[in-house]
Amino acid sequence: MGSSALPALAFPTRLILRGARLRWRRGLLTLLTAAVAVIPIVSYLALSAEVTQAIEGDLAAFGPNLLVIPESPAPGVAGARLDSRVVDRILALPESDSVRSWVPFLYGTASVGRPGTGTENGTPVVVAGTDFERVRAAQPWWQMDGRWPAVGSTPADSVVGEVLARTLNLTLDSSQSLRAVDPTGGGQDVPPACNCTIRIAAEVRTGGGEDQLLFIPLPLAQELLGAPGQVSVLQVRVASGDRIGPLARAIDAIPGADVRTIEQLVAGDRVVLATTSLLLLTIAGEALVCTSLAAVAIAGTALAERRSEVGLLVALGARAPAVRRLLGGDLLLYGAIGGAGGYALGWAMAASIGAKVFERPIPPELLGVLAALLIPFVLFSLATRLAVHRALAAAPVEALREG
Amino acid sequence: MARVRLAKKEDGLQPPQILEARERPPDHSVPDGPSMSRPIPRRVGRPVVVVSGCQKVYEGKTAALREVSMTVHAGEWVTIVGPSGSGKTTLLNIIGSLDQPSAGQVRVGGKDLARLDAADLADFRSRTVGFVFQRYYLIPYLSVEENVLLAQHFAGVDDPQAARTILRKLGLGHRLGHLPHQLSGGEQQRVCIARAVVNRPSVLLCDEPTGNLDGESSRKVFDAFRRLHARGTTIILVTHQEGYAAAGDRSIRLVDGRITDDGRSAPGRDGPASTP
Repeated sequence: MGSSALPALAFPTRLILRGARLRWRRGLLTLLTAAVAVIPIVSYLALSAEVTQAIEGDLAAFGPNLLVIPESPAPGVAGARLDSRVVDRILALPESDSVRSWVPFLYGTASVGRPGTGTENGTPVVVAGTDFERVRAAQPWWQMDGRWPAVGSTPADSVVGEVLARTLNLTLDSSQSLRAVDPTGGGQDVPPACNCTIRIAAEVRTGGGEDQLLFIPLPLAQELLGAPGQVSVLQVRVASGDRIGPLARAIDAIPGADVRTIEQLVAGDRVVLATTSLLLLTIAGEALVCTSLAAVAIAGTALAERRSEVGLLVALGARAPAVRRLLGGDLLLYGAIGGAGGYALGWAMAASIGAKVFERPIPPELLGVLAALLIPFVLFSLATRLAVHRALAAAPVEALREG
Repeated sequence: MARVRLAKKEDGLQPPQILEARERPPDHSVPDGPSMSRPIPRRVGRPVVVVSGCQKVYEGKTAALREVSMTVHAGEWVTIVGPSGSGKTTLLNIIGSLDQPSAGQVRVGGKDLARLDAADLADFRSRTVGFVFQRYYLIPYLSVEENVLLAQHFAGVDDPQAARTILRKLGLGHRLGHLPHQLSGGEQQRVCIARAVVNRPSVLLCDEPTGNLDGESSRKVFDAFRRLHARGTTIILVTHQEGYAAAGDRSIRLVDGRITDDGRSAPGRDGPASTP
């Protein structure tokens, strides 16, 4: 007996499956073509989606990308500070919708000592008044020993840098009194002494300048330094790199405010990402062009070999869509299998690049699944359409004669 | 028996004189029972194929057909004979819309083929005509039954039982699941006949149907044609074998692309069964 019966399947499906089984060698070529078309695109989609998102997250962890400072050559010096009205104007800018986080700092000099021990006039230290809740959200790289300062506590919870804590032997949960001093030692006026007692809630370690500072609540610092409603600097984190410029220009236009962008690191990472994406996109584009040509060649050869079949189908009354369906069906079938394989390989490639270059896992991407389904379908549908169009352009008798 | 008249070029297309009109549709089911050794005299009806002034010139200016005009009536069996290269197959292909004439008009079943669009031509090929090819053109990876069902599929019909019945009556009941290469030439040609008649076409077009067959297989194929003809099927059969010229109601002789004779066959014809 001949072919096995497939009674449950519709007649065209049976015909397509029989044809596919008969022409499995060409099917392998079709499968390979579809896979080659899909692999780089799936990789590109997976990497561009996941790595872009991840790098944006990393960049956020790197800290601020804008510094807003007073219009003065000596930021942080008394008298060169941002007024709260300037800060309000900055935050009210339309461009500020791209601000992911911002942290105010007020810098000054104070002496620190234990209350009631006669050491209140101890070593001068740089104090930084800030909003601890904002610091916690915007500067996740702070490594803290102890607990985050509680808002409104008495005495005020504060954080001491690791180096400063070691130098002054400031221990956790110890109380300290602060008094503003002239940082130059030249007898400048200092604000009147306030009842500024703090408690060391935590010790911070960043590996940077923060390790030598004493962080106290902003309102306390403003009282201590006699700078109500003022800050020395605003550290701003903008959500995406392309929004930095517009916001910086808008801030620069506000009287009393100056702006510095911290783009070197951002730009460097963006260049890596953009280069990688461009490389993958170029490979994907080239692969698509090559595989399109291959698909056209495969479909053309397949139809040429089945020329008499085309003639017969037309002689029996088949219309162009039916001819396309029956003669291109096996190409689509193999193309779909190739697309599935291409998706798996493309994702594996993306995962490998993600692990080796960006050191992060790459999860499967839904858009990649769609691409793996659509690309072979579109590729071989168009190639078959072109080949069938050519085959049907001639009289059926020519196809029968030449087949 | 039909009386026919050759349409002269100078006269233009002349309506054929219908002696005995019969308008009932042909029955293409292959009848049971003993085969006939000679055709039953037919009562023919309306013109079903009208070719007028048909020319076919191939590239290189080779004229395959020159001003050919002919009419075939419903229920008639016309055999077109002539030497190789005389234009017989070209004429048959043009009647079946597998090829287009360079000039002239072809009407089949009342339709001017030149005026049909692609969809109408597809309908025409699937329902109005059935082709029996010399080379069979069976799809090698489809079974006997599926090759016949293919023709049904394009006509929008899904009736496997009818296909099986026709195949059984053509003596292929035991071959339904076989692939074409597992059949003899005669069996393959009968599959081709089953595929051609499964949609009950008005006209059966046969191109050298026994050209590749031995005597016994040819006899079986002609038996099938006779049974179809007996049930009213219009048959146009092309052959270069002069001995088969008498197999139908009428024979037309083509020589060098021209009709040289269009007349009634001699009495006593019985096709290949009596050919030497």
